Order: sequence, then C-alpha cells, then structure tokens
Amino acid sequence: MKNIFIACLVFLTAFFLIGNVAVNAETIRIGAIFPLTGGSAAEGQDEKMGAEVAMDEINAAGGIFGRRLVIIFEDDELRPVAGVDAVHKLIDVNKVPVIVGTFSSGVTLPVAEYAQQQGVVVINPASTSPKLREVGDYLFSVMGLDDLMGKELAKFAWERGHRKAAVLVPNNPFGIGVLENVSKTFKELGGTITTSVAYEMGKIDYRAELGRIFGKKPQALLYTAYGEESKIITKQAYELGYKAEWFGAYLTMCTSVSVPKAVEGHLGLEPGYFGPQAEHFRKLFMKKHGREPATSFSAYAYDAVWLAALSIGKAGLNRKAIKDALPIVAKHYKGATGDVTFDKDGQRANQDYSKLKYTRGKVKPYK
Amino acid sequence: MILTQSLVNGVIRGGELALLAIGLTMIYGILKFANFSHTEFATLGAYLAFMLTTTLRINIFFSAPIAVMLTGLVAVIVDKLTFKKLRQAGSVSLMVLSIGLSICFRSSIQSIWGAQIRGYPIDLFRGMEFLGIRITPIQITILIVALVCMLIFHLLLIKTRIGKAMRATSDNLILAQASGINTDGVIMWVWFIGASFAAIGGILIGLETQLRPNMGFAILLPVFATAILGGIGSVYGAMMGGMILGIVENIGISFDFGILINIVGISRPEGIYISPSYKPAISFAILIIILLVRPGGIFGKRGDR
Repeated sequence: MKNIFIACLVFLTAFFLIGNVAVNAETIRIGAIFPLTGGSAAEGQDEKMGAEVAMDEINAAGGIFGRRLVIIFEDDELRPVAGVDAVHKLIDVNKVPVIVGTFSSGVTLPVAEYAQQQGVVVINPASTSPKLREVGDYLFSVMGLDDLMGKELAKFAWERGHRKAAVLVPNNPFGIGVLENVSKTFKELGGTITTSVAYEMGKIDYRAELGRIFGKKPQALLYTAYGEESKIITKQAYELGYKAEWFGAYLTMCTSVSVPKAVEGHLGLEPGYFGPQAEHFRKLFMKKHGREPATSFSAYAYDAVWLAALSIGKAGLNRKAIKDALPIVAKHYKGATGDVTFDKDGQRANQDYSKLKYTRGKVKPYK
Repeated sequence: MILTQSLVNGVIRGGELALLAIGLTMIYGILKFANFSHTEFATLGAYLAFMLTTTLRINIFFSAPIAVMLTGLVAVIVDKLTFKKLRQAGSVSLMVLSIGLSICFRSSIQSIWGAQIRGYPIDLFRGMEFLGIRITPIQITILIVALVCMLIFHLLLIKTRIGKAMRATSDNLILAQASGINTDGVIMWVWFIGASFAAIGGILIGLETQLRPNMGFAILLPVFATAILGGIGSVYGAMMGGMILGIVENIGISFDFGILINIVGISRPEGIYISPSYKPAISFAILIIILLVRPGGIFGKRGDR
C-alpha cells in the first residue's frame, strides 16, 4: 500500500514538473504587481484589465518570437510588505525578466529597489513620486512623475483665482511628493499655503484632519487621495459642510469610489491618454471587458506591457539587454498615452495633463 | 469656533467609548480578567447590522436592534463555551483566551465580509449649523442613543432586582453567592448587556464612519484606557472616563499650542498643533498619568484594586 502511494506521488510530481517545463517552453512570462485588493482595488483591477488587453493583442498578432505571452499577476494590496513578497516570488521563484507595476509609490519603491538589486527591469505605469528617479537604471516609468503634476495642479488653482490654499495628501512617498511640488509652485506663483496635512492611510475617520484644514478657511484645497480613503474624506467633508474649491491630482483615482454628491464640482488633473492609440485601446478594452476603462491607469498599464513585449522582442530574454533596449523602443512607440520617451533617469520626459471636472457622476473635460 | 466643534466631536466620541467600556469594565470587575475580545463585539454588531440591512434589505431601524440582540446572544454562548470552563483558571489564562478569541472573531468577520471598507446604505446629509457648530443628523442620533442607553442602564442598576444583583456581584462575588444571589445568572446578564452595548457602539461608529474588520481592535486600547480611567468595575466610571477621554482627545488636536509660546514672546503664524495622527497617543498619555497618580481610577478605591 505504501509503495503504491509513493509511486503515485512520484508520478504526479514528474507529471507536474514535465507539464511546467512544457508550458515554459511555449510561453514567455512576465510579472505584474497591482493592488488587486485594498484601498485602490478599483485602480489595480483597472490596470490588470488594461494589461490583459495588451496581452491578448500581442498574442493575437503571433506573440513574441511565436511564443505566447503570459502575465503572472500578483496582488500588492496597496501594502509595501505585500508588494515585496510579490516581487520576491516573481523574481526568485518565477524568474521573470520584466515586471510591470505597481500603483502606489510607497509599494513601487521597495519593489523596484529589490528588482534593481537583482537586475530585473520594472516598468512602472502609475507611481509618480519623484523619489523614483533615485532607484536606478532598471526602473522605468511610463507615467510622468509628480514634479510635473504638482506644478500643473498649483498652476490650475492659481488660474482659477485662488491665492490661499491648503494641501491634503496621504502620508507616504507619493503623497509627500505631491505635497512638496504643489506647495513649491503655488508659493513661487505668490500664493500662501494655509495648512498642509499628510493623512494616515487606512483610517475610517478623517474629521480631525478636515477640521485642521478648514479651520484656516482656505479658498482652495489641493489634494490627492487613494480611492477608499478619498471616499471617506469627501463624504465627511460634505457632512461637515466645509466649503472650498477642491483640486484633485489624479482626479479619477480621487473620485473612483466616492459618493457623487460629495465630489460634485471637484476639479483636477489626470495624466492624459489621448495618444495616437488611445481610441484603438478604448475599443479593444470595451470589446474585451464590456465597459469603458474606469481610470486612465489601464491605458498606462497597456502601454507598459507593450513596451515590455517590444523590448523582449528586440533584445531576447537577457535582462540587461532588455534594459538597454527599452529606451530605444520607447522612443519609437506610439502609445495609448502618447509619447513615452524616457529622460536620462528612465522616467517619462513629457507628460500632458487633462483638466477635468467631476460633473453629475462622471469626470468630464473642464471648459 | 473650532474648540466648540471639538467639544461636540469629543462628547460624541465619549459616548462611543463609554458604550464600549461599560461591558469591558463590568466583566473585568466581576470575573477579574481583561477581556481583549470585548471590542470585537462592537465589530460583530456593526457587521451583523450591515448584513441585515444590505443582504436582507431590512431597514436600519430594525436591523440595528436585531443585530444588537444577536451579538448579546453570541457573547452569552461564547462565555458558556469558553470562559466559563476556565472560570477557576486565573486571570492570565482568561486574558490569553480572550486574545485568541479576538483573533478568531476578527478573522472570521474578515473572511465572511472581506477586508475592504464597507458602509451602511444611508444617504449623505449635510450637517446642520447652529451656534457656529456643525452637527450631522447621525451625530445627533449617536448622542441621543448613547445617553438613552446609559440612562436605561442606570435605571436598571438602581431600580431593578437584576440591577441590584449585578451591583452586589460586582462588589463581592462570594458574599453575593452567600446571600443567595444566582451569580451565574447575573454573569450571563452582564455578558449580554455588555456585549449589546458594545454592539450599539459599533453600529454607531459604523454609521458615523465606515466598517472595517479591525475597527474593534483599533479602538481596543482607548476603550481600556477609558475603563481604567474610570476605575475598573465602575460603570459610572466608564461613562465619565469615556467623556473625559473623548473630549481631551479632540480638543488636544485642535488646540493651538502656539498661544502658549506667544506668551513667551515668540510668534508662529501657522500655530503649533499636535498632528491628528497622534490622537490615540493622547489617550495613552492620560492612561499612563492616571496609573501613576491614581491607579484605581476616578471611581476606584485609592491604591490598587
């Protein structure tokens, strides 16, 4: 009886191993880490869906050297610790040559640092902290960093005639990056920042922070907040009747799950996606998922996966070769999000932002 | 005025803390152990009300009392199955058991309802403004419910037989047994009422903010601080302690300490404030001071209990 059991075990193990090897020979695997659950699940799922659209399109066109592209998706739960676990698995166990991810700078930073040490390319579609510049030559960003966003948001508020503004951001590398850049530009233009608050993530009550901000009666609130937290912040601000004009950096993220009544009239900026392939991407997305993309992050994930595939196609599976090929590929790539040429730090050089206004349940272009 | 707004917020928070601390302090006083799973009853009550309101589509006015009763029942069952068996085991064993139970509760709630933030399906109301303070209908509800609960409980303790039996058992368990009081029955009622109040508190917190699986755990230490501040075993102490902590927490973060520096002649236009992230630290600081100065708490005996 025991012998039969051992025989079965050996047989199953062999079958499993052979099966795996067979699969490996047929496919090219890259990794993707997104916040599929947690405070930015809506954005993470959107990124995953955008990535899947790219994957299907690439495979429909014959794959990479005739081999099917497979993306191994991992969940970072919007938590740095979970992100690091995920990158360890993808690099140490799955041995992928390229990783697309993540979303929050607080997660992308430690993930990219490990990948940098291991010589694995990370293509970041959504994190924007200026600190990303310092990680190293294996990290590339498809989305413009917050030195650009902060500047534009401050200018937007100034153009609307506001001279006294408060700032509200999450207390993590992303939030602090936005805070620093928005404050710097607003002050340079001649405005005053009445209060700056970096809120603790993951709480269910932000009235203390709101009281601190609105106590000084700012004309405008320059803010950014992850989906679930933004929902609570805007809801409580509405209930408490605080008045000011709200300007959201990454407005679709700030309003993705908020109560429409609470964010009515909010203005903000979004990294545009109106590149040459934007409409094409939108159609493919609608066809595969049956609805419009929820945020612009799906388009950035789409471009990131395409860049990964094109680089592997050009350079093969050697990681250093991929890293060297990527900037060249990016220069010629016409993406859904526009011109993704990298600057000398591997970060996006030119980023357009759309001015938006939240009207009656949807984010619409601002006129 | 910001300080009056903080006062109002503080009283509301005080009510929530008091509701949760009442059960904790009673159990601690009678059964002589720190029940670390007590605030999980708040989480359970909040989620049960959520389930009844969303899945079964029962109006919140009915689902809330049902959820509260259910939570009370769960507490009685939990006591019968676990704590009762270890009655003679000593306070440390009971405390460790309660820590294990708290993990069980939290994880069960998370596996059933998920880790994401949930909210009750109620409409968004703009707060009403009067005398310079903003208060929402929900906050008024919380105040009224908390006050009514405490009033009812006070009347229960003073006017009813079971209330008298509770006070006797709380003062001296052995003597109460010797007087013929059915202390087992009293203990069952203490669990039921304590957990029900915690459930009420949990639902109110959920109405005011949102639901998350660790909402009870997050408030555990401030609730302990409340119970200890008021004097372990003293229900009135819990009420008082809750109010004090709630108010001090809220005023502490909205008070501009720059005013004190101004007296010395230095001026800082942005003011000096304690960051809102330090709100829990205020509770703990008070707890430490109380334990150093008057370990028995406000209504406790001088010295230790």
